[in-house]
Amino acid sequence: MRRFLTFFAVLMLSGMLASAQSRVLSGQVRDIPGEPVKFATVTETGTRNAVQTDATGNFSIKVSGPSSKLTVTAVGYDDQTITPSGNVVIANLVRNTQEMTAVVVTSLGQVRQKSSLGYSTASVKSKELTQANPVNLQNGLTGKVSGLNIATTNSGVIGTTRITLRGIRSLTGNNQPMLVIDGVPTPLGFLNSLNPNDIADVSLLKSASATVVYGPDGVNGAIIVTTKRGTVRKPMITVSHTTQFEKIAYMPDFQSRWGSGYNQDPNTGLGTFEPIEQQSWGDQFDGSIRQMGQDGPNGEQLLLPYSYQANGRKNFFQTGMTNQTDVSYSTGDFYISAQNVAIKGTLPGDVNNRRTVALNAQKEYNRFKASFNVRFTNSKYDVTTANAQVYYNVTGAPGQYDLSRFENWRTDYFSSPNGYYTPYLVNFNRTPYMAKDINRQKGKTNDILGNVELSYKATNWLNFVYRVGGSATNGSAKSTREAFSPSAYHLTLRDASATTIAASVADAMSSSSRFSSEFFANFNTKYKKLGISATLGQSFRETNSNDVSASSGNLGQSTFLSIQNRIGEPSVGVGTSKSRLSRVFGKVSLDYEGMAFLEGTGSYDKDSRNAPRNGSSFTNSDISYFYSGVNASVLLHKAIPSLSNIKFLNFAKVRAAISSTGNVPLGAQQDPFFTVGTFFPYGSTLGYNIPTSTYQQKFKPEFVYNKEVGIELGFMKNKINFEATYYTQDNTDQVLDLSLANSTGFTSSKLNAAEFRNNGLELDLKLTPIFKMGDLSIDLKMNYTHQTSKVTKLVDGLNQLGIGNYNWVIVGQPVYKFRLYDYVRDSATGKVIVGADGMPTVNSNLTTFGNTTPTDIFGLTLSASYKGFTLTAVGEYRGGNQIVVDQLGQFLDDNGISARSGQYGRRAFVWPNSVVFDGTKYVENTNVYTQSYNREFWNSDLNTSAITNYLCSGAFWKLRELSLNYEFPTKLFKGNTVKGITVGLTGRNLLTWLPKTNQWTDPEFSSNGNSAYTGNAQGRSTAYNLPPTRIFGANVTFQF
Amino acid sequence: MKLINIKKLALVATSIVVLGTGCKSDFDINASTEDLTAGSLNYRDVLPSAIATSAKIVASDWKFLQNWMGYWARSGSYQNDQEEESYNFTNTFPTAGGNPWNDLYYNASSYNYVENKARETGDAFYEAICMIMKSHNFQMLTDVYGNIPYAEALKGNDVRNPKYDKGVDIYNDIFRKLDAAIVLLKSAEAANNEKIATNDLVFKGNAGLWIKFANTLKLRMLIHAFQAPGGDVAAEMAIINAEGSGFLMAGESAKINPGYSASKPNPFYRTFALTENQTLSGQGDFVKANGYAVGFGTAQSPGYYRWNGDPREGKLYIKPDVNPDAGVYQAATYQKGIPYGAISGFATGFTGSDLSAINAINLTSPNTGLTPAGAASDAWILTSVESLFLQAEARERGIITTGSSAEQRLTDAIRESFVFLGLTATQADTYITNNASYPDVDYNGVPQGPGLPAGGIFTILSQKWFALNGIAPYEVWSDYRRTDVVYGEGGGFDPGPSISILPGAESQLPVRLYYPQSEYSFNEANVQAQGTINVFTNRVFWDMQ
Repeated sequence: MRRFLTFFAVLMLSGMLASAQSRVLSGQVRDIPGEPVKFATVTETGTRNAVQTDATGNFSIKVSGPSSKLTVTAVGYDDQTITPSGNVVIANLVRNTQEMTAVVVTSLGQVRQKSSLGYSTASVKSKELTQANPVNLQNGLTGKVSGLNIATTNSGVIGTTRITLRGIRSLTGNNQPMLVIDGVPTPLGFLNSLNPNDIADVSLLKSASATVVYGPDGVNGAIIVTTKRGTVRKPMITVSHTTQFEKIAYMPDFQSRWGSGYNQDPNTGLGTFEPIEQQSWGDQFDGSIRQMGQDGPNGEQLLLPYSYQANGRKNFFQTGMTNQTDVSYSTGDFYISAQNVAIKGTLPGDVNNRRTVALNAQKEYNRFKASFNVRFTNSKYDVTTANAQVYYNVTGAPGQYDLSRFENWRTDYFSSPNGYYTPYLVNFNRTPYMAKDINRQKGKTNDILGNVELSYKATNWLNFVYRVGGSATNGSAKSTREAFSPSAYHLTLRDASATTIAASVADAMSSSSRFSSEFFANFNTKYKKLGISATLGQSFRETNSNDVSASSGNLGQSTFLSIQNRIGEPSVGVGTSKSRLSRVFGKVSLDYEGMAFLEGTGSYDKDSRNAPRNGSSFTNSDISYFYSGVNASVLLHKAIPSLSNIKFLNFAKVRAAISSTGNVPLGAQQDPFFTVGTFFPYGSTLGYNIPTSTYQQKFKPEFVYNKEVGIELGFMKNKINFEATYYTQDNTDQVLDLSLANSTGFTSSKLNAAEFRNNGLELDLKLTPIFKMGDLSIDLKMNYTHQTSKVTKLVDGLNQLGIGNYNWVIVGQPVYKFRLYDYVRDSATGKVIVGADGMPTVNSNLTTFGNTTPTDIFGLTLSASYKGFTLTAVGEYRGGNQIVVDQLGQFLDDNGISARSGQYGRRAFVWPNSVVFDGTKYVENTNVYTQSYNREFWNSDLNTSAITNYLCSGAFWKLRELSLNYEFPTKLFKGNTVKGITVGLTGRNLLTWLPKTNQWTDPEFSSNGNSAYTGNAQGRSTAYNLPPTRIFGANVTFQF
Repeated sequence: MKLINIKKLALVATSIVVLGTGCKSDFDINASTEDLTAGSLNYRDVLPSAIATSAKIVASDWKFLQNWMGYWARSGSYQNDQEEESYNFTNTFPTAGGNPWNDLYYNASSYNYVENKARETGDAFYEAICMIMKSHNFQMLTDVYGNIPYAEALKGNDVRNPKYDKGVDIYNDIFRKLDAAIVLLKSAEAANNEKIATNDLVFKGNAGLWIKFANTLKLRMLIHAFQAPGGDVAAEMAIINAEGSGFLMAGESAKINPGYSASKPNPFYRTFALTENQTLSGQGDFVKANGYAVGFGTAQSPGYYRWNGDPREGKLYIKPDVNPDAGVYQAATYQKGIPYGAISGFATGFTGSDLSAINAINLTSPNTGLTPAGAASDAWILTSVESLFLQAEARERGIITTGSSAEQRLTDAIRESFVFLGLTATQADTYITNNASYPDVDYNGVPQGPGLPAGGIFTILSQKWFALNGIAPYEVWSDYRRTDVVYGEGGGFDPGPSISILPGAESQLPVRLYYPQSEYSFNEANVQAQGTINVFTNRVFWDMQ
């Protein structure tokens, strides 16, 4: 946050002569956007002479002498002293940005002094969130807070992100934090429908210690969003528009020397050209004009230069564009906003449009206060469902082609699958342009979110709050595949076995809703020096979801894509889920003279998901459990008088928290279920298959025991803020789907099966400003997170357990580790053993490798302001993990596209860092060349089945945000309808630095979809991930 | 003032706690409302799917044996199956069609579920059927894998690491389980077993036929194990005789047809011919006739069937289209097969439509032999053909000591094989007459050369090979393992080995399969206790070779 220490007074009238007598000064107190500040106190400096500003911020004060100064104070603003140079004074107050004394919104929507909290929190203000005009909140938070890891797991118009606070707490369950919008717990998915410009403030409660009252929902921490409300000031209309462009940032490392071909010349070992080949094992590019593919039915020929087209593959993609328009209107008791976002993806044809409207209103009447909040979001998207085919066929294309030549596949013969240069395309001869065009999904999502809060201040020491909120999402999607039949010419000349593509259609509708209510009473009293406050409350939540799908791959009219046009029985599916959670909670907070704080919390939960799986009877005590937490903090600068003698230290706080929280990682209605047997029913004969999975009779909730200690320091009037936290989390009774041997009659069983611990260190340092000279002010904020974990126990004496995507849980090791096929190595040196033929062998046993998620995250925000200009840069580093890019890497090697496959010039080579047996021992291999090379090696199992060939460091540095904004001086708009204009240039992910070993893609990308919670098994990207992109654009904001 | 505070506090606190504890029924919502669970399903309706799955396993899990036994081969247009053809097995083999271990255990688990439920509810008929079918699965598993988890198997969470039992002990226990099932069937009132006439897809609630099925299964096991130590063949036979129902006879095949049709095809047809979407099945596409069985398409290169003038050849294999590429479908004169098991494909003349497809589909002569009604044909589990051959061998070996002679029983079996494939008993008799004195057809045949076998047991086993083509390749594999009979040989014609790993190398077929990877991953200690497995030397207990 910028911190303006400047102020200015404006002389309205000249020629007023200073008088030696008392005089009357009048003026207005405003905040930096120019809005009046009511009830500010204006004091004649050094005296007790003071007045308050009125509702419009105006004041008038009689001062004693010509040299009198004025001190202006207001809650939430820095104090300011003004030397009047005239009789009219305007004070421009700066909002209080002192981190240490700031307030944060905590659980239950309670606003607390940060200094009184015994646990770690962080808050991000609106301006920081939206400085680079992100489309969603997740992108706006990335890199700005310690302990927070937001991974964008795919690019594309519907970006998917995975969020964790302080690592994971459940091996196979949900590890993402809860979302609370204006006090109301809301499904995390609503992050994608929130308009970032509606957000006033985001608090991050990093641990379960801060969220005990939310129980299992808050076990992974919480993102507390407070949306903008009307403030008491003149009506203000804000209109802004942002246009951003998105371009492919980089593609995998390709070889650029050889074009299409398959066979090696038996005499030279070099590749030979093949005009219809899709793989790239041909001869070296020489620029000659050659015929590609085969003659058309009328003898047409596709003649192209045989030379490398550097952007030939990238040209398939287009420049994406996002247009984002916002309008908001804010006045006394309400705030209303509308947003339209139109995203055109880098993959041609993919679009996503989102419209949001929101209304916040509130009313106070004596002791009664009501507020109301509703927002509605409508999204429409149209995307291809053939990402993998598209990406394979684009990246797989031989280097001599510029793919944009083949765009018009419906009309141009050589672009159609009938005449495409190669008949060997994967999946029914689809060219990438065709694949994206014939496989589409169109969908709509409507999200509605509303809540009502009523509070009643019964007495000075007692008030009641009742909050009820509901959210509902309904979505529909229709996926279609167009039919295609190869031409007769294609069948005879090219590929007799080419298969026709049958039309198919799949409709899906889903709806989900969540209702929650909480009622609580707050007591506040003071006993001598001890402030006592207590909260006792009750909450209830119910979630429902319902989805219906119908599909058929067998349509009567191949061009009419409707399920009603099916032949035979369609596939149908229906799923529902319902769960209830009720909780009674209590909290007692003690405050000793604003110096020492102690808080205890307890919660008693009853969760329907704990009910026995087999439908047997149970009692309340079977589904209920209790947990609690204590936290404390001491302000040392107040408690230890000698500390206040240290001039540069003005704030020192130590804190500690300990808590336990129960978590129920079981889904609702998740009994193993029977499925209808293949082709059953036959007439009236029914047939069902028994479940392949089984389960333990009764589950214990997973418990997370969180312990943390922290210190917060402020130096030099809080110009330097430092905060450090160390935490451990013990996670017990982890519920796993344990794979079983088939001889048990089942393939997996759900059980309480593991324990693990994670711990970490979080550091935040803010220098505000780090540099200041005149109007130039530079702020620097840094955050660092180190996190690690250790599996302490597995069931059945197991030592290790795979959870998919090469991710393993291994006793004594961090979760998760990769276990991969590697080459057989010499145990003494760790070097690859090659045989007399120079070739290694693949180890048939798995070897353990690095962590699958980052252990170290470093974020850096640098902002510089000069007059109306603000330049902000956010950088982030993540490291300590490895990634596996096997699918893409294998594909590129198999096809001779990758830089790897060309690294030895397609000749025999000495295996790097290898040893060979000299008859008695292994010696360094310097002269035994590989027996096979060129395609025979790179396209063989010996290369591609050693997954370690596709393992690399997951580290990266990214320039997450870079923005330059200019705010026109307020004085320009005096008397105009327009009150302010801000213009800006923004960029996101403009630069990425990757280690040399990563030749493939963005390390954040991950396969998802194998888990309900976007995959705990991280670090393995798939061919479904499109290439990484960078975004840049401009925006303008008008205030009226 | 203070007192009032506390009173008010207590009041507020109490009301909040009362509000917070809803009644229990509000939380009894965890039962599934869409997916069927044990609580919402009539357990009896699991049986039809389990039986249909048994038929599917019989039909489609054994393509590798159809190839190894010389019936089928890979089309030359397809890449070779490394593991199956070069014997470089891993413990994931076989995967095409289905993995017998995984399929048989899961299927047994289904029967186990119904059996336990039936025992609880007193549905003796359901219980008995499931005991028999479960035994059928374990008999197959033992034959393919030797020692396997049995007593501790199928217990889910209760025994996550089941111990392995010895094959011979499993066989002995299966005999007793079948005895118990027969006792149950004799006392069971089918009418009191809800929906049994519908849900018993095999015999529609006919207890007598189920008892015969159980006895036939026993006979299959006795024939496998009659030489093995640890069993008492005579005593087991005495129990069968004392029971008195006998075995499955002509026309009494255990087969099902719940209502197969083009859109719900018979499993054999679905796997090797057309799928429910009327597209060529992935497996069927590369399954062609083996040259060992049918020759190579010329008068000079017959296979065993044509050498004997066996009309079943035309029921089991179609004649290829000689010029399919020109769109002219012109049937060839002879069936044409392809040699199986060479490392590289036989590119020229051994691809696609040049070759005989197996009995299921062809544009010009569909629906022959094993699937006479195409997709709507019956699916078999244990055929009368096999039962009659088992009886012939048992009589020949003196296991059965009374009744018809071995020769008569063999003739009955050959006739049943002809009838099963849509031919007539008369055609069978003609076939036998035409091959008089050849020991591969004629029970009284004489050796066709020095060192070659005479009729008798050799004839029975040879004819069993001809008859169980496509039907029960696992049974033929068992015969191959427990006897030294090389089919056909001795009939005066020898097309060479059925499989050749390397050109010129003699074949040596695996005598079992590796335990699957899932055992090594999730039941490691117990599978490791079985030692290092060699699929060429670690024979199952009854394999005395």
